[in-house]
Amino acid sequence: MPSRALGEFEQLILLALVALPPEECYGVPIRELIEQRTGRALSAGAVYTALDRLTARGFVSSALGEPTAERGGRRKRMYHLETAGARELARSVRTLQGMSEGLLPQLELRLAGTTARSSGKRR
Amino acid sequence: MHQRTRLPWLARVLAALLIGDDADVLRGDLEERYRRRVAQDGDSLRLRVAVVSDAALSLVHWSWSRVGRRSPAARIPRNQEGIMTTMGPDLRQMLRGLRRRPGYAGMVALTLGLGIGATTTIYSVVDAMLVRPLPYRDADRLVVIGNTVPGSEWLEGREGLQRLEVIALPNFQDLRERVSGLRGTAAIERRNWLSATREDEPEILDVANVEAGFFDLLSVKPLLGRLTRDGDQVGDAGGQWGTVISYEGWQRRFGADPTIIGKSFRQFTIIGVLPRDFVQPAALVGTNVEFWVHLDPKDRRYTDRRRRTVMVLARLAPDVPVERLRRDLSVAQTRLAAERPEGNVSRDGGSLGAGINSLRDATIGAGGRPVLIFFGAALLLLVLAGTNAANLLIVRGLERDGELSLRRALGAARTRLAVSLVAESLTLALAGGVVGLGIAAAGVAAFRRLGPQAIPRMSEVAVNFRIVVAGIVLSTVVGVLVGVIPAIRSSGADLLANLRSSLTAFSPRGTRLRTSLAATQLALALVLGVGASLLFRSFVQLRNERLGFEPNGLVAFTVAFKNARPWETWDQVLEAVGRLPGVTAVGGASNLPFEGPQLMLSLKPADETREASLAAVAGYAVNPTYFATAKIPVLRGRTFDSSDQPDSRKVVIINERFARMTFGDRDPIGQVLRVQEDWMQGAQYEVVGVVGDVVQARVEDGMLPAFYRPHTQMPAAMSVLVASRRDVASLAPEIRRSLVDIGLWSAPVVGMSSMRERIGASFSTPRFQLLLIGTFAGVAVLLAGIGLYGTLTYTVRSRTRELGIRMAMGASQRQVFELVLRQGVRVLVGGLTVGLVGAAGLTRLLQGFLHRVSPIDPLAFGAALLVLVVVVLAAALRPAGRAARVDPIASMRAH
Repeated sequence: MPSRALGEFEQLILLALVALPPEECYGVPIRELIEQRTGRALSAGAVYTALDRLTARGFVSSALGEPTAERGGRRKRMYHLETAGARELARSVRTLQGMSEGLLPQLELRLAGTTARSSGKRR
Repeated sequence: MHQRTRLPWLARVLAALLIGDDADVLRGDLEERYRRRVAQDGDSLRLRVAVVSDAALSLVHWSWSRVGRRSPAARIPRNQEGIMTTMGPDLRQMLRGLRRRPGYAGMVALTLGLGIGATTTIYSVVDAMLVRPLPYRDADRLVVIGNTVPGSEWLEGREGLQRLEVIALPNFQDLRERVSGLRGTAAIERRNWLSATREDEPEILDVANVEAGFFDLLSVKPLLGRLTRDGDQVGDAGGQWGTVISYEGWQRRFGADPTIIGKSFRQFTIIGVLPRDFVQPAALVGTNVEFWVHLDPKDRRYTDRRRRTVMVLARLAPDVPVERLRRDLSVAQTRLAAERPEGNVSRDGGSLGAGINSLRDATIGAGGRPVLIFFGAALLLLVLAGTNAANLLIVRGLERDGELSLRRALGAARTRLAVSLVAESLTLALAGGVVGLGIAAAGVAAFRRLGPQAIPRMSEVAVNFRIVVAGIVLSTVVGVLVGVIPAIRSSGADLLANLRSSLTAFSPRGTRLRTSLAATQLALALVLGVGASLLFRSFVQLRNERLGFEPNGLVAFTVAFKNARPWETWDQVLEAVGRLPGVTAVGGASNLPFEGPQLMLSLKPADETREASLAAVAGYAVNPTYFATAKIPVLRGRTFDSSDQPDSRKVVIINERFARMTFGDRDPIGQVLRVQEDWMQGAQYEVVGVVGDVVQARVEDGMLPAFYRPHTQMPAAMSVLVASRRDVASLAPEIRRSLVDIGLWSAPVVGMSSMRERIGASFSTPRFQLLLIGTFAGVAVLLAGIGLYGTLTYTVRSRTRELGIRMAMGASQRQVFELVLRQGVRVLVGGLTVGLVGAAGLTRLLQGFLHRVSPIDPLAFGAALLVLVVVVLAAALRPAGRAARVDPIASMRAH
């Protein structure tokens, strides 16, 4: 497996695994946490697609959990953040943080400028 | 409660389609998430839609990412031989191949989805209307019995279906004693009850009087309370009429109040609520009865033989065919009419007959035919979509020819390759089926909204489990058929030729097959296009028909009231409404245009002696200002005025057509008409005016003869026509208030709408037909265009080298351009010839839908042809242009 930087969505999933208590590290809470914090809607299938990729890269591991009545008697798959995953996530977050340090105000300014210029062009 | 919450069924179906490891985990997630959100915000339609779309998206994601990927957990046994063991890897390879080309896969799935969706939509209507039995126990034994009128016993458009009218209950009771084979009967009368109290707005309530046994015949159990029984009519339940209410009424009026039983509403005490799934027998009572009350056979209304008031629902004894009962009833009725003529005489003096239909036939009426034609059109679209998909598959197969041939050469079995091709098309067709079911769900919703009342059993139409199964079966069949074409082609293909083909310049592989498929598509598109074009022409003809009055700025409504001298109320209402600000004119009539006549009478000049049988003429009561308000021209003589009083000379105004028919070139003014019907006892009217012709019930009927009588001399219910620049919404409350002001608080205003709206509504059936067939035709033309474009583009791409050589040898750009265009034209000519012949044969089926347009109308055929020619040229231009721009050197170097 060639090493490749984490995608944005993969970062979100890994961050969710950090945030959630171990007994809630499965599909539904992961998805709900991401939806709550980012405001974007996900499909249940998309979460698993990403988790599959992360499993294949050894960043997370999983085991089948206990069935519950709430799920119509079906089992959960519980996920666990592996050290390799934690390391990769930390690196990826630090990279972004380091690079973006102090740049956000400037970025906002740039965006404000773009709107002004493009509306100016229209006139 | 928590335990009982289940996923919406559609989500469950989608979830069941998940395959692979851990599919159960995802299913569990879907269910858990749904339950959490229900617990949080309660169940709602929005949530259900969200859950279904979640399941659908997950299915796509899941299938894309999980299936076809070798998960570490999956270990495929490879130590066995045979097709079943090679199937797994083959399927995986196929799915991987599709994943690599999402554009191609999406295109095929969407194309098939359109065809499957159209077919499934119409099939859901066909299924509800023609396939499923009526939702009653032993429904095929239920029949409807009534009187028939000699001369119009049979309903047009359906073999063996009688036109039944109401019958007098005592006469039916006599009939019942004279025939055998009826196991139970119940008389029904559909009525509108005026309900008025000083507190509430007056209202007309939809009521059905049903005799004891009615609900037993339909095997209905009440949801709450009990059903009707003898005694309800004398106030056994709470001193008022006991009534069972419909489920819809219970929801709408009473907010589904579970303690409704015993409460009173207007003149009723509510004794029961009907279940939600009870389907009203439309042939007897229509579809919107809200109050069901007991019919007491001893009531004066039902003991009088001269009052024909009821239809009869009955159950046949086992093994008694409807035809036998029809014969027996007819014989018995002839004898009965001779013995007791009361109530057995039709208006023109003949004896009434008695007729019977199965409840099912009576419910469907003549409505089956249009739906079958729609179904045929949908099937044409499906064949077209299938052809299109087959073409795409072949093109892809050609690209894989090298691969397939190599595999064959290395020893792969033919069947194995064929199976993998069919499996690919099957997968795509099933994906198309999912798209198609989505289209069907939307289509059925659109049908409900746009579908005219003319479609019987519309309330039972739904995309239910049966339809989903039908859709899946259909997708499977389509998938196999579509896959078989390229499979046969590739299994018969010459191995060596295929392997060698990349080395040769000329590669016309499969061109003929693909060309004929493209031509088939054009032919099918032309058939649908001609159909749509004919319906469009017919619709335009309808809209351009002369109405005979000026509908702009007219608002119409009906006032329901009771008065032995109704003309006094008419005058009061017209005066009060006329005083409202912004009202320029107001007139009254028993029936307005598009409402049909008040009655039909046969009128003959009093001095005419010859015994000609006369067709009855439509009659209306109108007030003096009616013609001016509707801007109907008075051509001769005068309109009615205040000199026309109840006891003055009996006068009549006739329309132009009637004047010409009866008097020819003679001046009708001053002539006397005599009513031929016995029950009018020789009444005579003097003609005082002639007015222009006006549309009566439907534009389709053309201008028919009519006569008008003063409202003072022909008592009638009242409709009002208001000329005003103001709209309905602002006028309605003021009109209502003005009626209260003149003491008519008990008179409900019914059906207030602008004349334009009424005209629009009268065109709803042809508009719906046009919309449906037009949509099919549009999709068909689009698919055919895309199909041809794809074929030509592929041809050009695969012939790049040949074209390069031609240009290197001196062919001009123009010649190459024409070469490709010519191929397009060849397809065009072949396809359109077949299409024209097919269309000319099939459009005859549309005859009944067409107004003043021949089914082989040259203009309609020409328009459809023109559209297709334009589409073909547009589809051929780009590939031809690309061919002309081929760089000879680059093309030869590329190989």
